[in-house]
Amino acid sequence: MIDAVDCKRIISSSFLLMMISLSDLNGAYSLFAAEKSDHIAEERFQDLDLFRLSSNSVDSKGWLGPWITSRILPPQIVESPLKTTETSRQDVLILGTGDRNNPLRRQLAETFTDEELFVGYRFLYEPDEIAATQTDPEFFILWLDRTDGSDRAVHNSQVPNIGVHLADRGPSRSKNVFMVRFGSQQTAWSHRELEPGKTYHVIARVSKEVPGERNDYSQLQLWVDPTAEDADQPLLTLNKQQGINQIRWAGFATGVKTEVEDRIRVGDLILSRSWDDVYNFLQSDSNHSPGQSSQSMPQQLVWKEPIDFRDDIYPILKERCFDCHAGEFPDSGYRLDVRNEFLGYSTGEAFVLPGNSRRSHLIDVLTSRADDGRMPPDDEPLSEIQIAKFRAWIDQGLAWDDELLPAPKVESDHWAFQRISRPEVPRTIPATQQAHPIDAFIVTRQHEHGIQATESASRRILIRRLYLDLLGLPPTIEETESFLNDNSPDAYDELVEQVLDSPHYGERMGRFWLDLARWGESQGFQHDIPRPFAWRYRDYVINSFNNDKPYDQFLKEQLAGDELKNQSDETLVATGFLAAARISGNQMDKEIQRTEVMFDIVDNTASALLGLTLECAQCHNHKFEPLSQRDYYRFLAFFSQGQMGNLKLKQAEQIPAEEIKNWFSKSSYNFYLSEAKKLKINPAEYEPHTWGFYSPVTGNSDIEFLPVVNRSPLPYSPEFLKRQQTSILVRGVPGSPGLPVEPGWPAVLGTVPSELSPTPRQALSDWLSSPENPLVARVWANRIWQSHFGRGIVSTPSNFGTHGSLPSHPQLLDWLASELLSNGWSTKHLHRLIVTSNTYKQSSRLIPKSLEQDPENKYLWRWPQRRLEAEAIRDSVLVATGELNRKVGGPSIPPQHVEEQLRRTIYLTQRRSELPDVMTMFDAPDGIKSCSRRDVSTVALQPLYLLNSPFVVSRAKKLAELIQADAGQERSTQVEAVFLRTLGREPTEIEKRQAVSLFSDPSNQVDISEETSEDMQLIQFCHAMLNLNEFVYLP
Amino acid sequence: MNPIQFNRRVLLGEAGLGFGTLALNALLQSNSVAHADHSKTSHQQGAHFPSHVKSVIFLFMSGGPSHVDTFDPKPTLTKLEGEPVPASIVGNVPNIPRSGVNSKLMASPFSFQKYGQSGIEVSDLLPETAKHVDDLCVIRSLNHRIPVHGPGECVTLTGSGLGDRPSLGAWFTYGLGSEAENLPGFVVMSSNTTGPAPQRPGWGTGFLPARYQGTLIDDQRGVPYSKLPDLYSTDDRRKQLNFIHWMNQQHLTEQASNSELEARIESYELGFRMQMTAPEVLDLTTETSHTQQMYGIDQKPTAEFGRHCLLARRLVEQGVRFIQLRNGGWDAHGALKGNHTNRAKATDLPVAGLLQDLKQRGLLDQTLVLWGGEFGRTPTTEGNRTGDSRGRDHSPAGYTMWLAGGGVRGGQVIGTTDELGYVPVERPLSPHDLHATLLHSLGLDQHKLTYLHNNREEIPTVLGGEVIQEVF
Repeated sequence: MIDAVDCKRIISSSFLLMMISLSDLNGAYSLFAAEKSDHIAEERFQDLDLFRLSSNSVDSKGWLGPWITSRILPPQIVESPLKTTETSRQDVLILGTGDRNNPLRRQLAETFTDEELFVGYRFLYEPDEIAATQTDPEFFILWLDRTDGSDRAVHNSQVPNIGVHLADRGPSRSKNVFMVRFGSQQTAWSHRELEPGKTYHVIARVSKEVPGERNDYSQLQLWVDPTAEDADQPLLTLNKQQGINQIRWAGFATGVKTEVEDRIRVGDLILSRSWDDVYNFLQSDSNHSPGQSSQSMPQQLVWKEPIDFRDDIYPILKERCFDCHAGEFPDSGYRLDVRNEFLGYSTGEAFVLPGNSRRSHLIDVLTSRADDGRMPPDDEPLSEIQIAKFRAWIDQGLAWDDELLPAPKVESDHWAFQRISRPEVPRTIPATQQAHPIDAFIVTRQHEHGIQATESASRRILIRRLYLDLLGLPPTIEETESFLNDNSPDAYDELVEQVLDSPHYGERMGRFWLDLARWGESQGFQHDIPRPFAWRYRDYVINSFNNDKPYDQFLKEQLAGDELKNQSDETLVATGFLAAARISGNQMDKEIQRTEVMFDIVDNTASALLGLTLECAQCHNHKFEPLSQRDYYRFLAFFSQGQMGNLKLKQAEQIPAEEIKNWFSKSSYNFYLSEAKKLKINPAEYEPHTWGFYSPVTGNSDIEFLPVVNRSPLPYSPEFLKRQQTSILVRGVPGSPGLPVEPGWPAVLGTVPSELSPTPRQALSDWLSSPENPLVARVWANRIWQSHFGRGIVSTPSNFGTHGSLPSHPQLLDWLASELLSNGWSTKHLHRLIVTSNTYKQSSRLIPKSLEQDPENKYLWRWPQRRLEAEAIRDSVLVATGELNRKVGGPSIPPQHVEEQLRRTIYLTQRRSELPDVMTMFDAPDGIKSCSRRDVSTVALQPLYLLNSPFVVSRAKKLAELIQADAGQERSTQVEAVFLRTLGREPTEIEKRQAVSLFSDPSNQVDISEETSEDMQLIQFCHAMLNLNEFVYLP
Repeated sequence: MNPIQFNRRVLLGEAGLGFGTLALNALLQSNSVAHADHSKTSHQQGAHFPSHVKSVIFLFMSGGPSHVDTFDPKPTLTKLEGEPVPASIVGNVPNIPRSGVNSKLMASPFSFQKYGQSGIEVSDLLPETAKHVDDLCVIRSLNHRIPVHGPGECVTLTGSGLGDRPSLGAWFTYGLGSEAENLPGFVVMSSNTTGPAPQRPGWGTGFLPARYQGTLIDDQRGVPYSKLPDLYSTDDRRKQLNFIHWMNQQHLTEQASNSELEARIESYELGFRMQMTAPEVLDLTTETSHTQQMYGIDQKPTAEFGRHCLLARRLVEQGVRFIQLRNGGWDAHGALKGNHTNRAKATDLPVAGLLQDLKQRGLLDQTLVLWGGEFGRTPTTEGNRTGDSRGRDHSPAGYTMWLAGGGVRGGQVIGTTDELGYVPVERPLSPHDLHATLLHSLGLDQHKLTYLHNNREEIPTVLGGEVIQEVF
């Protein structure tokens, strides 16, 4: 409604509109009537002998050669509905075949490669009975191609298609709508539904965003029944696609969805250099006479009074926009109830340029005549007055009312984002039980659900469980015996201390950390060139766990080892966490190469340390977590002034270059050397170094960055890194920076101080380990819990967001996290608490009723047995045979040296494309993405490995030798000895009988091979024992 | 002793043994393999429409065989030897790096002849394959935009240059399972591994479960770790397995229901059958010397690829679904004449032998054979080399592959490149079109073969591709 006052405040100015329209066109095409010379080719299909012409020459209409019709089903010439009493007119009738058909096509006189081409045609889909009752999928297009495509060809991949098709997604899904596409995978669907019986004028613009003869047509725009003023108002736009680079043929095609009943009339085809030329050509053929504009110029209203946000703008926003554009998770992903968001605060993409409505995207979308572009969608456009008010509001500086629409506090009531407070330990457990706090929490939950738990496991099982669980190695017979013979009441507690003090603990726990860090000893991707000194980080991790390095310090060294005041070789090595990212060797676009590394670092750090799926906010605000795209790029800004590479160490020993060849397979080392040679690098001249992450801007200045061997390494330039300013990448695309951002953590997790430099990553790690941080302690406590029970209290260990699993025992998780915080972030303290609980010490015996109540064992009513990891399986074999070389740390062992150095599996060379067989077979991660929990798969190749690999066969032989030496020749004694060495227990009577009966002569006669003096049958028995479920399961 | 004899049929029949049906189903459905997480499969295995084609043999010539020196003769190239590329052609070539349009044209050092009833021209590099030209459907108009080996290999074998999607073979075994009960359903063999390294994604599973991955087989050693160690007789192994089974059953009893443990028990039986079958299948000595000669196994240059081709036929006989033979070293940047002569010599006879053998055994109809590389090679010389040291650069903008068997209409050529062989001028086709065609040939509808991943129904041709109808 326009009241009297409003009317007075409005003046009309058609002149202004003209100015805007022209300037907005970027000179691409003009509103003025086109010259005839814009014509490229045209056809009105009026010649009765049209398809019988056989000239191969260029004709006056711009074609070369005749129309080619399909032999599958040619088109017919029929009378046109446009026929008038004065003129006889005809159309081409195309019938469907229920299959691909190219009924009509023709070559242009000249191949067209210019920047833009306009094409228009007239068509009508005849109504049919099926379509009247149900949605009958349709397909009909005009294509523009380099080739004629034959009768049946698919003008698909990279070929501009303009027409109608059944939408398979989006709001138009399951409707026949107008669309444009470059092949089927790159379709833009309009909302304009095809109405049978209606004559349409279709216009399209095909253009090259980068002009050049050999560059792609990458953009398509579509108009359906436009008016003369619609040249700048396409219905659809499809940008940045991969298309053909030249156009030589045009034609129509039908498809599978064009059924034999379908009848399509086509007339008036034109290709031109100007929109107006196409428009006029189509108009002049219809009932409109040429030159007669269908509408007069619309007038643009201008609001001249000062805008009052509360009265003038807010009501429109509220009524027309807020349904989809307000609140924390707006359907659209964009919110307009926050002033900052008009300026692109969280997405980097500004809708408004205050003071300049003409350059404000908001006005474009309000005034667009495109179905898929105008806001509000599927609804009446805003009125002229409303739009005029919006223009004025922008031009006057985007005034806001903070009382009405205050800037929102980013906050969430999600449990994991709340500060950790220490829960009381429940007291409701039966008085008879010794109250271990963990048991108190667990038993309380079991009681709530009326679930009965099992009794304690035997001491034999306990020691085996404790060793395999905390060390990844089974106990030796001596260790088992000594524990079983220790009758003191604190024997188990002492055992726990002993195990936690073992240097092998770090190798076990460290491997889980390496999974999280997606660590490997190569660059990844196609070439996967070795990173010779990446092993130093592996050792850093192992040593850190062995020393029970406080977790906060552990994180600080890994995130900011180059920034710390007390920086040392050790903290530099620690940055290998960030530097475990892969980097492509043949990415020539250095911006993309660098951005991909940054993405990897951000995704991994957020996932491993915070348990957040921050990667979802790379291209848009997170769909269900309170994480914005701004959060993502602020997090990225912590790292963007740094780079991965070889960093010189000060204290480390020089390692001779020829040594390195013993760390990798021959072929990968030779490849490394040849690539180094191409770069004119001689690794032999390197001083001692590590593979790490360094920022010459925020890191200590005395760190030296050595050249990197890769096919096309990222150049290293301190000046470049200094100039790096992180911006939000609009829609996540490298090369399209939006608003610049400063380093910061996700706003929902706490306020970021205005000043984080000069050492931002150190500030990040300080924040991570502050007691206010709600996630870090919970996430880590949960991972420790998972390492013992196979499943975390939160079963999605790297997703603590609103879509992660809820904790099965929330109180217990917070209690554990509090314990971590109040005990100096001691990881071993948590292990100790957990493994001394009764919950941990339970047997795995099944209680049918409990199984029925809780089949997943969520409430831990029994010990959850599970298969050992690849490393623990291989290492267990080596312990059983007494061959394990227990040396801790050092360079990795390549396949050719495995047999001479029977080291733990964690020390086998981890080139990503060449992982040890035992790891790829038994579900070890591939070092590409952070792995928070390993799968357990069961495939037939696994038993083949354990039964036939020379490695395991050699171990069986070795075990048999040991047994012969220890247990003599008596079969039953041998059997007992093998049981003890492999399963850590004696056989039962029936097991012993079964085992002895395996030997061909059970009468205790030994069958020794004459050639090798090997006891074949004993070897085979030993080998069998290494294959048992009991052997490869954590009991 | 208590003989613990069982076989799969007994197990199937007698649930009384305590096997959870879940575990069994997981194992049986997917040829010898099980996965703890079998609930995710959103597709019922089996073809969408009837097809008599059962297997695919992909002869992947890695490095990029030159189309203008093999299946796409260009007399104009001979005429313009040493000339710059005419401007009229340069304009046609998409702006991809290293398309070599500024270098000099190089005539093929090989001559072409017409062969067979169809009269399709083939160069004298491949005289043996040429004899089967009436069985070949030669596609001369393939093109894509990736001029680098690794991503090119990935796009050819997985559809995506990033190598982050399932390989074609994985989709086939996921979609159809395998009829080979005692062998992996997707087998990969690699010969002459000089040149660009094989790309793991080429036989990987991407987001599909690990059990659909290709198994890399060494023709000498067979299925990884399938050779019975010297110290065993088959009887020894059987007895040993019986003992393992008995012990595992004891262990399971204490645990009662545990499908993971049950699956592991069953995997030993399947592994054993695989081990028993594989050496027989891989043992080529049972073939007549005539057959061996047909594949060139008796001659040094052809022996390795000949063995692989013969094995491919034997695997087809066993019902293996997808066989990928990778032959490396076609990357002739320099000395193309020598390089291609050697590569052709090593592969021509074996490929011809395979076609002939499949045909005479009536297997060609049920086996789709596909030959080609990740791209072709430019019509121009790379750099400033002269004489026989000249080679060609990568040409993804236009190249040739061929199909045979599997209902393919032989003796036809699809598509044309321009007079120099730079870009298709008729019927341009993409690797994705080829993927759609392969799926179609075996009765799979590319749009119905779905797998639910991250709440999204993934299909094999998500990046496009349409069945090339005229192939059949």
